[in-house]
Amino acid sequence: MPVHRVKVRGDEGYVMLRGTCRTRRVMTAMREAVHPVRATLRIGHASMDTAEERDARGMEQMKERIFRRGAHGGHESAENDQHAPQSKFKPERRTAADDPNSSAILVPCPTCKEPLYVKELENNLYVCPKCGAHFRLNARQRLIYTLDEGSFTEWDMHIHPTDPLGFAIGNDGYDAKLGASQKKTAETEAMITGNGTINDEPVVIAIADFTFMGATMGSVYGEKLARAAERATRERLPLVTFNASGGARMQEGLFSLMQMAKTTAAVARLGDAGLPHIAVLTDPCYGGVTASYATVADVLLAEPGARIGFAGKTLIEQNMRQKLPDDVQTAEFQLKHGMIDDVVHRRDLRQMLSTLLALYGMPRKIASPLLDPAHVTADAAESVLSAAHA
Amino acid sequence: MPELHRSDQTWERVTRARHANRPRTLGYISGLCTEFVPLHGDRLFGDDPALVGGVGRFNGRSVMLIGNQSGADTKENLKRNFGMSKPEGYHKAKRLMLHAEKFGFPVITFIDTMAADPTLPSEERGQALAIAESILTMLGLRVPTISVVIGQGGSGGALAIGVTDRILMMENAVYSVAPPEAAALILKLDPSTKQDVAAAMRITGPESHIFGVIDEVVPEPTPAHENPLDAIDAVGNAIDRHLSSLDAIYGTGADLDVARLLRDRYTKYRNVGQWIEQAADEAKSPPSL
Ligand SMILES: [Zn+2]
Repeated sequence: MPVHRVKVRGDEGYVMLRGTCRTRRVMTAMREAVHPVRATLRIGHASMDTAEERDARGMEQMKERIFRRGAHGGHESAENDQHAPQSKFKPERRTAADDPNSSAILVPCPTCKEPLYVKELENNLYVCPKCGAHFRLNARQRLIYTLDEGSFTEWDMHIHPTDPLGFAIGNDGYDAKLGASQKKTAETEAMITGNGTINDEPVVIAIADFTFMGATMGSVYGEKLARAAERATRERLPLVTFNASGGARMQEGLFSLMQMAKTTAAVARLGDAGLPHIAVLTDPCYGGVTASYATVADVLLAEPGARIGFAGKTLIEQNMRQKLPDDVQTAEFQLKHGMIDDVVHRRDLRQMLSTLLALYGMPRKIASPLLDPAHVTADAAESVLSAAHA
Repeated sequence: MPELHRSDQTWERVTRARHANRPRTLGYISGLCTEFVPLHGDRLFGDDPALVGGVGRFNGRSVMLIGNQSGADTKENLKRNFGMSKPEGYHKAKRLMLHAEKFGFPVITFIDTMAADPTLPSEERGQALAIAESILTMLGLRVPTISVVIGQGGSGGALAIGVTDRILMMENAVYSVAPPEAAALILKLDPSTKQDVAAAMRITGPESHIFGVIDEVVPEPTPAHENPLDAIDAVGNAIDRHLSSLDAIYGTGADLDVARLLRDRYTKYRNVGQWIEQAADEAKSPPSL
């Protein structure tokens, strides 16, 4: 493995980018390193091999530089331990410990069934250390794992759901269902929006909370998302959405269906203003959300193993009268079929997002010195370009 | 038991909307256009018989017509997949809409589909993304657009050709976020509750005003399956009226005020929904029509 030397502008020293570095100063330097605007970047290890090998190595180097794969799951877990006390919400566990009040110390992994220490899971961003399965996160956990500490300001918390159709089947009313979900999750609805920073890159963020009625898209989901996209457009900020959804909110009828048009319209305006929308599809993402604003994103990422589709697998199996293989509708399946840009491990997501935000940098930044031939080797330019297209 | 009564009424309309003798997209097109040239294929993968389209002359004017097409019998239904589009259908719709924009043709769509196609091949070819692309395309079209729900409007499959400046709906048509049977399944209710679910979702033409996006309900003095020609006539008159109204507001040809058209279309969809703003402590309602 070659050692990457990074010269940070205005700094005479070199920093080695390898393994897990946890000090603030080194992290800042590394952040600079992956920021093509702020840093002049030189990659060593020039040699005389084929273009293909060079490409492959460039890509590896880029990944190494961006993600800093460490033996212990990257620096985020360490950082996030400091964040954790901020949240009054218990992390969601997609297993026997699904009960938010559970004080279980051990939970079985939903995929490999291995019993796991909750504490260990928390330190590992809720990724199974044995098999790599990504547990579902609720919106607050996602915030903690994504944004810089203390940078989040929540928007539009005063928008609450109502029961516009007086929807009830027998004694089963929508109003009561909303109340029960609010009590269970301590959220008012399935969509949380606001602004913050990711590795100092300012961003508007919108996160769907699957624990709230399966993050089905009703009026509040659509309205909060549309307001966030509009405000991002006004304030010239990029938008990152974390999407998970069971589809439309049946209890709101046509209001729910029309949120597809509403949210798509709002993110389209963001795009018209030249601002990027980066969407992350997380487990599970179906129906109206996958068929609207989420998938018209400029960059479409997914977490490993996330189920993504339009129609649910059970419905397809019933309709086709056949059993479908396990790997159908996974993030990897969607990547193979050309539907998403990449599958990104949770420990790499934060860095991937900030790298993208920097690459699609806002006009306030100066042009990248990397594109100036006087400042850059061909290898570095190639790997940066391939990362931009990864 | 007024609730029961209402669900019976709703189901009566569902039955009419699904009636085999009810006119379908190609019936409306042949009844309303003096000339019509069908255009096939998505130029990517195939041609979806469940979604038809082409250029026609309506009241002396060239328009793009697009619609979901199911069959009158089992044989045709198998060919047309019971009117459920595959991704190539949405890609075709998108292609035809952009084609219409290029030549300044207004776009008229006929919605008549239960839902999107729940099969693996459609998933593999990204039907969710195809629907999203079509919705996005409709939001930005620089020509006036009108859709008419003529039978069953269901789920994203319907909305994919339904994001228009004006939405008309027939009295015996239904429009919902999902077909009642699927909604009952999704809500984990017994299949026998489908009629109650249909009523609870307010899916009929006469109730559709509460959503604030349906611009007109076209009356059916006799149900369309009993008197198709009158129904086609009534729909033609309604389309003509709305096309004239759009012309009057936004201008035509080189004088078309595209910016205003797109702004108003944005507002129409931006405003849909109902929620409570706690600060004001009052429900925000969509604009009444
Ligand atoms: Zn595991």
